[in-house]
Amino acid sequence: MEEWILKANLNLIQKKMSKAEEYTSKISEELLQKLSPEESEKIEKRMLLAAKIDDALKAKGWKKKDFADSLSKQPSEITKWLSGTHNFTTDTLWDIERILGVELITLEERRKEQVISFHISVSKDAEIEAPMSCEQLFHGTSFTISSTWQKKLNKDQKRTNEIYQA
Amino acid sequence: MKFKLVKLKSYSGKEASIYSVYMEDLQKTLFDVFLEENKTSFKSELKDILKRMSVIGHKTGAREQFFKTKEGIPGDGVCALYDDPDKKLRLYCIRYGKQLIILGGGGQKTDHIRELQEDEKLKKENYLLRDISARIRTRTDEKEIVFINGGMDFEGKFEFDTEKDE
Repeated sequence: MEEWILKANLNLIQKKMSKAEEYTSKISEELLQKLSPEESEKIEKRMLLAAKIDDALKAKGWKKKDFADSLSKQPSEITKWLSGTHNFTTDTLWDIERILGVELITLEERRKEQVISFHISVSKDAEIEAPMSCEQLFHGTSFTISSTWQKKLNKDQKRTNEIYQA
Repeated sequence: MKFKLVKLKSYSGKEASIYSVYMEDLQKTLFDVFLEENKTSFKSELKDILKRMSVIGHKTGAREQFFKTKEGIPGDGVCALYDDPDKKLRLYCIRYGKQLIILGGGGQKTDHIRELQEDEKLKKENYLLRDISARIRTRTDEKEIVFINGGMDFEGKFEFDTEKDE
């Protein structure tokens, strides 16, 4: 084979792309294992909060300086806020919410819409008078229910809640 | 000097790939050396840095706001992970956009030092990363290392031998 073809093939082989070796750092794993879940959560939340503020700045088309000016702060302070390491006061967060029009602290508890469904069958020799509607089932006071049925209903409700929460 | 780029498996995630530089003579990465050098005196700070790296890889990406940029020469990507004035450690990295970073080494900051050049240890670590960045740049220019997956990763020849490359 011609020498130049061999060289060209060699170049192709040498240039063959491969992915980098994966590496596990034992010391970093050991150190990270010593981080408590609470500390870990705080660090993560600070970074996510900083990212959210930065996203809001970008959405508004603002530079750090615009943001600093609007809050009468130094740009260096904004750099610190965005670094993902800052421990904000609630007053500062409220100022940021107001200026950027973004929600950072949720105060109102969101009401969960809970759907509970029961499957009830009543046999001829039932011990109860079956309720006519859900309204009656949950709010009515005019019927009694036997302990056997109560157990079944409780079991069904527990399972429904489990499904809902999952 | 022989070294290769290795991907830090547990820190890399869907938001960013995190690499370090494995030094053949030390049989460990520059990041491992940084951790070992500081694990006794600054364990808490190291745990914080490690968690931040994990969040960068898995949740936020290597957003510019989390780094002190322009720690090298223009365009070489050498930067430092953001550190508060009250923190004691500085970690140098090479940042390629939001999705890929290479962790280098670093050291202890001292209060009275204003310029990098005044601290021999930090200067050594910073200049080493500048040199590594320049060598990677040469490989990318020659298409021996290419960015893939929209800049999320790269592939190619990751082993370097500075004596042979000269």
